[in-house]
Parts: sequence; C-alpha cells; structure tokens
Amino acid sequence: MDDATSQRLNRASSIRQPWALWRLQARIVRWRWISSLGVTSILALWALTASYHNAMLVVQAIMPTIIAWLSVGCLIDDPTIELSAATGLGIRRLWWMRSSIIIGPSWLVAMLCTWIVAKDWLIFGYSTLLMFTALSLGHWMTRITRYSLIGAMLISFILLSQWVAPFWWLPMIMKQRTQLEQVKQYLFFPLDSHAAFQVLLAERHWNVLMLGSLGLITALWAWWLYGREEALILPRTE
Amino acid sequence: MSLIQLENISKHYGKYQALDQLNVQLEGGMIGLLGPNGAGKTTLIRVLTGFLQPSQGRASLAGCDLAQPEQLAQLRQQLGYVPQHPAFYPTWTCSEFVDYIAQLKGMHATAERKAAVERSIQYVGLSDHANKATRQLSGGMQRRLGIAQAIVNDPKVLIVDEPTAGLDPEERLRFRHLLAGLGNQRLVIFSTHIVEDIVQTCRQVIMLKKTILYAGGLNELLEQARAAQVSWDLTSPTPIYDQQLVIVSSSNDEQGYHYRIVGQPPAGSNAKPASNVGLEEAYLWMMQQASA
Repeated sequence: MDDATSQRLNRASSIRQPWALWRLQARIVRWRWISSLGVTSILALWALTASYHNAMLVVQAIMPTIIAWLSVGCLIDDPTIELSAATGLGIRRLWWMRSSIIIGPSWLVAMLCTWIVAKDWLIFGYSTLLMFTALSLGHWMTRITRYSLIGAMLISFILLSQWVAPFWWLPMIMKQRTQLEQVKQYLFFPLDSHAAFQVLLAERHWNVLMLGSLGLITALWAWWLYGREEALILPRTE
Repeated sequence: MSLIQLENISKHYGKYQALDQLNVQLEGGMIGLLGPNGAGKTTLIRVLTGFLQPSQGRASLAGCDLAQPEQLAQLRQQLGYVPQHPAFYPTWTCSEFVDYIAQLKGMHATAERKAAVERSIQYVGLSDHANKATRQLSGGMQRRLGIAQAIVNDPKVLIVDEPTAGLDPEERLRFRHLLAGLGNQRLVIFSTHIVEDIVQTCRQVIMLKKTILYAGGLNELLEQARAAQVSWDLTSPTPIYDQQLVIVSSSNDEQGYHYRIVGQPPAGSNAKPASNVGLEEAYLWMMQQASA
C-alpha cells in the first residue's frame, strides 16, 4: 500500500460519526437499549391507564433508575473495549455514543408519558436529573468494583430516587421547614415519596426550577467528564 | 530519529509500583519487549497505546507526544494493537469484526474499507474463514484475527502483546513469520516472555522488570554478556540437584553430566566459560543482576 492510500485510509475521524457506526454501536448494546425502552414503555403504558399518582412513581423513581442501571455497564461488559479504546475512536466517543443510544429512546418515551399524564415539566426535569445523577453514581461505582451493577442499581434507587432527594436534599436547600414536617409523615413509606414530592411542589417556587436546572447541568457535566476518562474501565490494580 | 522515546516513565496503582523510571530511545523495526510475568509489559504497552496515563514522565511514539490529546488521536489513526487476550463479539463474523474496527479507525469510505478488510484477512490466512462466527475459531485463528484487525488500516506502528502465549509450536512458528514480515514495513513492538520468539524475529530488545534492564541491539547485548562471562559449561560425574544453580540446559553421555549454567559456578568445580552465549542466558543474567 503506498503512502497516499495509507494516508487516505488513516484520515482523522470527525466527531460526527457516520450512520453505519451508530448502527454498529446500537447492535453492540442492543439488549441494553431494548430493555431500557421496553421497561420504560411498559411503565409508561401503565401510567397512562392509571392515576397521576402512578405516573409520578414511574417518572420520578423507577424510570431513571432503570435507564441508569442499564447504561452504566455499556463499556465494562464489552470484551473488546481495550482494543476499541486504544485504536481509532477512543473510549470517550464510545461512551457518549453508547449511553446516548441507551438513554435517548427511553428518555423520549418518559417525556411523552409525563406530558400526557401530568403535563408537568418540573417533575420531568426532576426525574431527568435523577437519571443522570444515578447514572453518574452507578458509573463511578463500576470503577471501583467493575461489576457491582446490582449495587449501583440499589444504591441509586434507594439513596437518590427515594430518600436523599425528596426527604432531605430538596427540603433542606429550599428551606421549606414547615413543609418538611408534612413530608416526614411519608418517611416510612418510601414508595410513596412521590406524594412527599407533590407536597414540596405545592407552592411552585422558581428556586425549585433553578435548583433542578443547576442539578441537571452538573449531572450533564459529570457525564461529559466521565466520557473524558480514558482509563475508564480498568481496575485500580493489576 | 527515535521512534520510541520514554523519559522517566513511572506508573503506580495506589501503592503498587508497576513501572519505575523508564528511559528508552530506540529506532524503528521490530522491537522485542521481554520480561517475566508481572514485569510491567502490559502496563507499558497500555501507556504506549495511550490507554493508560503514566503517573510520571513523558512518552512519545512515532513522533507523537502521548500527553497531547491531538497527537494521541493522530497516533491512534496510525496504530494497530493486539491485546494480550484479544476478544471479539462471538456472533459476529471475522469480516464484520475487522470491518467494525476499520470504522472505529476512521475508514469510512465503504469500497476502500471493504478492500482493506479483505486484504488483511487474506494476509493472515483466514480468507476461508472470513464468514465464520468468531466463536467458531480456534485459539490460533483468533490470534490471527487479532492481527488482521490491527493491520487493516496499514498502521505505521503495530503493538502486539504476548501473541504466542498458549499457541502450539506450528502456530507459533506461523505467527513469528507473520510478525517478521510486518516488521519490515513498520515499527512493531512485540511483547513476550518467550525468549526464542525474540531471537527469531527482533534486532532490538527492551528487557523490563518494572524498570529497564536493557534497551538496545540484540547483538550488543550478547556481546556484553559474552564479555561478562555470564554462562559456564560444567561437567559432573553425578547429577547436580543444587537449587541455587541456574541451569539453562543439560545433557549426559559416557563422560558424565554436562550443564550450562548462568552466574557464578560452584567453587572448586571444573566449570569453563561458555564460548557462545544465547539470549536466554543473557536474559537470565540480567534478571539475576536485577534481583541482586
């Protein structure tokens, strides 16, 4: 092969990858995005036929957790990851492409469901924030123990979706201490935390929106940062 | 111009020091990376591919500074890499997999890419298995497929991590020829702990045991070893079972038991300096020096 041919074959790839490569990535993570989309769609259908109460449960807690759980392992489960990361595209773009493929369709379904049932973008923003936060946490955990996906799922579900955010984090920052008393009555019924959240949202303050936006930006930044990490899937010691 | 340049490269995982102050300057061709298990070969290779960041120091390969993201990205387009345990998607065919790696390397023009995929598969002798699922390949064939994906973009640098480990003698021989052929046209870094592989294929060698024990020409190393009288021939009327002696080879006939040993011979023995020194003896000598 002459130099000209070699240079042509070796030309730098752009950030915008061709459709064929997206299709191949979708094929590699197919069980993840199909499961994510399937579960989210089933939950969304259930929410559509049920009450506002159930819809909130879907978008607030279950959906983001499931999507996050299915996304965290998209690199570490790949047997060829060292090869793929060391040549050509690099691990950062692979992470972006794959997590976008897994999250994207489910996120759209959840968005549609939220709008049809609740017509409440605030709730949707909050669930998206939870999803990215759970994703970040789960991804961070996979760096420590590599295969602790179940742990990531449980922790992200219980800690973020059900306990910390609705009962402590939001009320404390919002300084709505009077409403916190109302919230606490739900403390021992974690699956009813949507009700606690509803109480918190009873008076719609702009600070909630601002806080949600800030959280979302932070979570997106964390997602981007994880994508930059070249040695993402390596164990700490060898 | 040095194609591999390492300046004070160190890498640690927590408290564990995997690489310690590596300094190397070598030209192109086929370079053997030799060291025992746990010497840091794979870590060094991961640093050279940009997969791991060194804890300290600076590395450049084929003129690209690995600490610079743009240059690293440029290197990746010119790099072929075969990991120690090449793994594939089991249901994909050989062609599909090589085609996928070609796309990852930025080869987006379909016709050229297909031709390159076919060419690389043919080069490693897998044309008859191109449409076979990768899970159906034998261990040796999988290693060859690993080479095919690595050379699909005609890389300027090829890094191969322990490709011959676990292969039968015939397949290992085939692999050596394959690598030697590739080494004529590009920089090939060939990591192994099998000394014979290096002897047969490389003119330059890096000996590693967390730090560099030797980096340079193979002939120069053998001359150094000869000058240092690292190996001795010893004849004994009875078998020797001394665990302290590093015995490289042994034979026996009616005159007694003949041994080739590395290091100082036992006091009072009839040992004579060996007239010819092989790489295996030089390697063991280096390891002894490192442990001393």
